[in-house]
Amino acid sequence: MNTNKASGNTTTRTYIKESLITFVLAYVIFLPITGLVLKGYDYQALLHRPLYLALSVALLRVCIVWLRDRRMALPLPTVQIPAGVRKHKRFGTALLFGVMLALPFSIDNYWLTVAISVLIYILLGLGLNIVVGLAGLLDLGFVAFYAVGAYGYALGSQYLGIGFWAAIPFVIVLAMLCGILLGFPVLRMHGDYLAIVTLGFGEIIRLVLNNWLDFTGGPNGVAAPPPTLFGMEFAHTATQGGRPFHELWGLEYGSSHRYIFIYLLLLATVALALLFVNRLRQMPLGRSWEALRENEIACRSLGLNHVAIKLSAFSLGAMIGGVAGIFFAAYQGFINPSSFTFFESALILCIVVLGGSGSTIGVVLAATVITLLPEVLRDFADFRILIFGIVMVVMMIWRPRGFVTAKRQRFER
Amino acid sequence: MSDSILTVNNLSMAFGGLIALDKINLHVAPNAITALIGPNGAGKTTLFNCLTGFYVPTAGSMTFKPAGTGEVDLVMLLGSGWQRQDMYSPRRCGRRLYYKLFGGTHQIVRRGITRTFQNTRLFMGMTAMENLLVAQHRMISPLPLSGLVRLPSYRRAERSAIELAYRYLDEFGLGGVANRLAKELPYGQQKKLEIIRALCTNPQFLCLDEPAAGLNSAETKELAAMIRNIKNKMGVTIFIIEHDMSLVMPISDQVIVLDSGVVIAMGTPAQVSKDPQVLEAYLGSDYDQKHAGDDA
Repeated sequence: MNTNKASGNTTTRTYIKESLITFVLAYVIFLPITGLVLKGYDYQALLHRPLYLALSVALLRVCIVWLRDRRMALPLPTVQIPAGVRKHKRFGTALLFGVMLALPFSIDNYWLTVAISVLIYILLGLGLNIVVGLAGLLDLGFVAFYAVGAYGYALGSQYLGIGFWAAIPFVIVLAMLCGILLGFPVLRMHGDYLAIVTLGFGEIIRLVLNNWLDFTGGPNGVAAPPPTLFGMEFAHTATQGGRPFHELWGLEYGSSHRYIFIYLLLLATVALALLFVNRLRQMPLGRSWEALRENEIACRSLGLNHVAIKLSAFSLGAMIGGVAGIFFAAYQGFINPSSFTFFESALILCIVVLGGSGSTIGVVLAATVITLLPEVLRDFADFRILIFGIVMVVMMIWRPRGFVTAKRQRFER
Repeated sequence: MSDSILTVNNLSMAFGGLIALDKINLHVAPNAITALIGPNGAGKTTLFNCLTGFYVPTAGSMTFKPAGTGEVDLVMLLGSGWQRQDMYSPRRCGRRLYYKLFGGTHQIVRRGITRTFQNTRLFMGMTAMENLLVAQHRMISPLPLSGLVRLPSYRRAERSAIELAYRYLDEFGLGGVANRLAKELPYGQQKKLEIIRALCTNPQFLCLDEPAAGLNSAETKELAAMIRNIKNKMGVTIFIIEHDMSLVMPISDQVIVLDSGVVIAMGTPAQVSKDPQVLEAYLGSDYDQKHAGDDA
């Protein structure tokens, strides 16, 4: 990046030139896309829309030039956290956590569900990050574990009568077993071959769920019971003679109570998962995952059992994915196989790659961006995937290692 | 020789019709430097791969006998080499079955045999220190998940692993690069780091596969000192493949010459350098024996 043609001290003229060129180019491109709206056989010209878009693109260009300039002055291409910020990192984390805690009480139901899906994707990203980012095993079927978690909860409650809390250990065990089940046949595979087998695994799980009508309900789906807190339900009237949450606390019934509860629980789970993954990274197990990614043969020559390492990566990744599935089912209240398509796997993989393989902070950032982006871009619903693709391509050219480069642990004497 | 640390008996390795090792017999003396030389394609690296468990030999046995413990059958550790008498003893049968399921390279490393590679295989995206800590994984965590809650015993073990790694790094002059990425290090230091990493597994028997390949003469001299140092101070037996005779001849106590999968000579460097078969293998049959002295 540093060999770029732009000189170290960009003048105002360059800024104006760059932004003008970008503006014109963007206007020409956006004019037919957004400026002309078809109405039957007629069309309507809305020329102000491409204007705004082109303006924002030009602004972005200025930002980019400025950033590129600044980066040339910096010795490292990675995101540098200033010393002052690092000193108050704990404080910052606590503040962020506090804001996240207060968040559900200040937004409406729609944004609350968006926040929940952000957290679910963070969880999924963290799970896949173990498999892809740390252990370097390209997994294109991660959605299978998500589905196992969601269906484990829904079917478990239907057939075994287990509730939300009992489902958590149940699903953890189930998902880890599935992870090991996938791990065994792919022990000797690498790269592309591994990706294809895992892709197949993801599709197998979805097709089984789709076609085993008697057991899973097939495409009709299955209902997942809402979560409870110490037996208190979040419904208007309790189903089994108990007292619902709002009655017990003397509150007005609100449909958001259930979402707020799920959100808070999910927030705690994400915090726990972040701690878990960060600790793992600094432990022999996490280090051996990374060693496996770097060089499998060297790994074996040092006495690491590569079978155990691969299986542990698959099973722990699957565990986090499964837990995310429970929350997904609990918040949707109803699941069917169409939620677990390959597209989801690709999306989760995007989160890991975009965030920077191996970096937990990157995963959190990327999950937030990727989940919020479609919501913000609601108006461009038809172009969402296109924009998404462009963003990915641009990212791969610019920052092939993702938003955040995973920082290595330092060891003092 | 009953006092050898490693005994290889009738070891054969065939890849389909290609016989890479043909009934090899050799002994390696403990606390010594043994060199394995031979022309390209002689089967030196194949022998290393068999010894360290990367290949399962087609036939034959390899017995490792470190100081203070009993003999270990290396082929058994790989889950192979089933013999008829194993069927009559439930204990032996059970042990065979155990290694069939859980055997492999890591079992051999656990017994104290570690190797390095001809083309360095470091964990390039990790720091030098992390490379060394990966090698010490067994020392750090007796309980696999105790690090999640950072038990005091875990912290102590981690601390002592870091200290050991720093001690080795300082000893061989890499103390300053502990927190640098392995891929940023110059080639000579990478070679050194790989040897140090192998030392971190606490081996009794260290196999070095062409450690001097690509080093200049000053670095080669430094390497020779390092290898001697490892043998003398740490009491590690060293088995080394090397083409650079200026490194091999002065430091080794014993030289084994391999050609086309067969051991053609075994003895002290002086003996081997005069052996007519060795000269023939290296220089062709026309070579006048009067020039034999020039080579060593």
